[in-house]
Amino acid sequence: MSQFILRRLIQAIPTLFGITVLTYAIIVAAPGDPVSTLTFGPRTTKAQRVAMAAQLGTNDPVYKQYIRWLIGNDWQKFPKVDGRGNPVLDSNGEQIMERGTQKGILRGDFGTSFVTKRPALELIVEKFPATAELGGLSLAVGVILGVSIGVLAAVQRGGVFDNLTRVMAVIFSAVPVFWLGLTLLLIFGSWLGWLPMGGRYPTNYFLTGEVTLADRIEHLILPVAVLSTGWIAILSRFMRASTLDVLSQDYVRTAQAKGLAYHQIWFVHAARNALIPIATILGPAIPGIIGGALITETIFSWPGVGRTTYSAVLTQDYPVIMCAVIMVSLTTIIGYLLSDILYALIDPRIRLS
Amino acid sequence: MKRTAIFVIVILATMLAPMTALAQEPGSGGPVIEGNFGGSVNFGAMNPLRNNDTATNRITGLMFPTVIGASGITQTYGLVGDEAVYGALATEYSVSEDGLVYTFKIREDAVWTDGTPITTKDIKFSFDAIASGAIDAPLYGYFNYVADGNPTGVKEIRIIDDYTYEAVFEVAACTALGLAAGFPVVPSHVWNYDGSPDFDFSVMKDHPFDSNPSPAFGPFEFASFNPGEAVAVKATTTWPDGVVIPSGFIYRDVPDQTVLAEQFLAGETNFIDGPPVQRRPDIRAAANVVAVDMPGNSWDYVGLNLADPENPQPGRDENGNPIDQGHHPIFGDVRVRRALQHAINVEDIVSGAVFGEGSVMASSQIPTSWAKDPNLAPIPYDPELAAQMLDEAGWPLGPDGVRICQGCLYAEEGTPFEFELITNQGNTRREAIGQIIQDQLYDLGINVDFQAIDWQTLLDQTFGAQTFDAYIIGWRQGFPDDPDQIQLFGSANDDPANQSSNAVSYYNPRFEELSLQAATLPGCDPAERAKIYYEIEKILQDDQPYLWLFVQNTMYAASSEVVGFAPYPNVPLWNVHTWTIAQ
Repeated sequence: MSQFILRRLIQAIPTLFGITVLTYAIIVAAPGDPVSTLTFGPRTTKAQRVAMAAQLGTNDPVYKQYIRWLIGNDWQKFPKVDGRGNPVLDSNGEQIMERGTQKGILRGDFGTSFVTKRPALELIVEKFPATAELGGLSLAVGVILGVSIGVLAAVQRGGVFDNLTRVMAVIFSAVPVFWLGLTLLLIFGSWLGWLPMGGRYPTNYFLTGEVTLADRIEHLILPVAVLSTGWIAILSRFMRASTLDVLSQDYVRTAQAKGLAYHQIWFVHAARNALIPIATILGPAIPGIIGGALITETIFSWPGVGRTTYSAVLTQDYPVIMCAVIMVSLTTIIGYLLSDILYALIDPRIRLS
Repeated sequence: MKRTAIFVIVILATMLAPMTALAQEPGSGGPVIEGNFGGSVNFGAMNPLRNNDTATNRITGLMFPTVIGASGITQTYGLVGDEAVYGALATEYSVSEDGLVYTFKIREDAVWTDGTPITTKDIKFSFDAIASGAIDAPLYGYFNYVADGNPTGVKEIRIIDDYTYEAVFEVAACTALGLAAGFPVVPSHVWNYDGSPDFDFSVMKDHPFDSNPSPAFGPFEFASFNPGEAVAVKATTTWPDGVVIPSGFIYRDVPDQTVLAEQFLAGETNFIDGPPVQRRPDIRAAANVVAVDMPGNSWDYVGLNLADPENPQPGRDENGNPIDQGHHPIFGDVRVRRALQHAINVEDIVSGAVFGEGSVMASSQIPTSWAKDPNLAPIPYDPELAAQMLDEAGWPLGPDGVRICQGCLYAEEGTPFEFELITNQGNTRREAIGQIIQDQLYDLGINVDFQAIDWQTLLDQTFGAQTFDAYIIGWRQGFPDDPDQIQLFGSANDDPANQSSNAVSYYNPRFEELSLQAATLPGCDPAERAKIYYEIEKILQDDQPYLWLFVQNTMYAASSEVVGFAPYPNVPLWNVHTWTIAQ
């Protein structure tokens, strides 16, 4: 197992490198540039654009920008200039050289956001708790309800419950998230006034710092409900099919013939095999959680990674985009690795070697 | 009986007195809560020198002063003590005869919330930080004197004493006041500024002040920052201009406009600035809301390429001489441009695109500008006149109902009157404008190929390459803003390599001459300058480099529980420290 993990992690390095090269090439090749987004306005002077491009380093060739992003520029020295572009001289009249300030991603410096002037890593990482909370809870609710519904539907195959859950799964898959979110907000937030209309905390929290568990739960109900519908739909159908397949196996019929109780048959013999397809889905679900849920976050004003990344893409905020891509790539790699490990743990026939 | 009456009066006064005092105690009035649909999911670094996006400005504007303030009444600059001005430091200023030196005196009773007095050292520090180029200030090129690009910028700030300073210019210009004193001021002692000319301003980058901007000078000071969710500021006790009654100001991120309006109507926020146009009738009609409509600062227009799109050129060469731009085969003829203005029904566009929430523009000045000519009327909608003008310009109707060139000025004979109109995808307002114009011109025998494309691609084709026919974009004027528009229509700003603003390649020597005259008028008397701008406005209206559309109206609304809400255009929060919010 440990060798398998090590091998996969080593393989991840060139994969990650390739992703960063491709991503950087794509975002720089995209029409426009960050300077035009940041400086567009009726009063913008040519001097402002030129100065901004120099500040951001976007006037350098693409390969230079990428190398600087990768390994930084604090190993280089540059002529020091003042705010007017004039060279700064020492007491002997010689040009002062100063080191660059970027360390590069290989040394953990993800750069500074072009738009907000804050560290790119900080912008992404500070959103993780909110993203993990929403995504994790939605996944948990989806798994619990989806698995339960799937199993019951399989056991009562052809019955009313089975048919109802089939319709429910179709509806949950087809209904657009934004429509569902807005509708629930209108009904429960605006018309009935039972639940807050978005956000993670009650408004007074921002001044007083006071929040109760009930407040937190209230703010989670609607976004978790909306985000979990997709998981419930997918997992319930997968679980139903998997359960039906397992229940039709000879060893289950043998267990039944031996007179074992139903819960013994299910939990001792059948559940583990029925859950194998679910394990293969859950691994890739992790990067989905970390990547955020853009539409849900937008509707419910949830401060997640999805909105941050989307905003960075729209404004061509290269450092933040690259930071988000790396985070999601890393979690994808780890997610698939965990999926494989889980698969092996569940199914003793699988050997990772 | 008399004793009883006196006794009752004393008891009542004793009961009422604390209630009166309680209403006036700092922070006793409940928080102002506003939803932010600024488009940015992240508040920027809250150092006002490093970030000036709309959302961050809302918060930093409540915490940090500028030297000279903005008056809601005059819609221009104002000093301490002027009505509807807050956040200013300057009590008076004077200008040298040659217009090159502005001398400011600042108030002596201003202190940061940590008790440190505000002096001219803070002002010089703030300006020099921008000018250093070391803090990634977005206003770097605007304020700073740059020899080859911005000769009207500030050359230097000189301290005379703790409460007097001079701003020195190389070139006298009427934009000087805002440049000399319109920048925000931050507490220099946070960075241990010693006044040394060698001070390394790069220490301001990645400083904790960016996410914890304290100390402050304003009715509010920083309270909390929840990334992606809200920024909150709380009432200060050091504000010298009166007791700050609201307990705080909470600015919440609300990235969806529908939710923004619904939150306000449901009472989760109690102040809204510029709600979506389609919800404004609901907000006006709501029983528990006070809504005020005003002309806004954002205006949409159709830019017509006057130059040859096959051979885009900058407006000036290296020596400053005008370069021949060629002519657009259709829009190169001013008669055609004027005919198109008569051909579009702007009132219909306002109804269709912004639900009537807009004002038709006559030319390039917005209604709230002091330089707007009140007697200059918009070009009237007259499709018959438009058809006649097009016929006379050599664009009669062809056999298939589409106009073709027969004796037109620049296009080849037989060329159909067809052009591409582009705008940015996702902007529903501009997409509606484009579709309406397409329909209206179709009735006149003009085929418009309207496309909504990616924003960056749009910028590349228009300001970047100038290979377009026509585009729909908008401008948002700053506040206070100078009416000078050389940036938009000056030939030196026709520069595709730098995506400069004169993408339509407009050139009129008389416009440039008058613009320079107005910008450098000795004394800069607004009334005298306004007369020049009236003439400029008429020139632009006649030359028609744009099809003039409309300026969007804005709306400020507060729930009825807010007492004291009395907005002015662009300055809705001028008296926010007096607002009482019933809880």
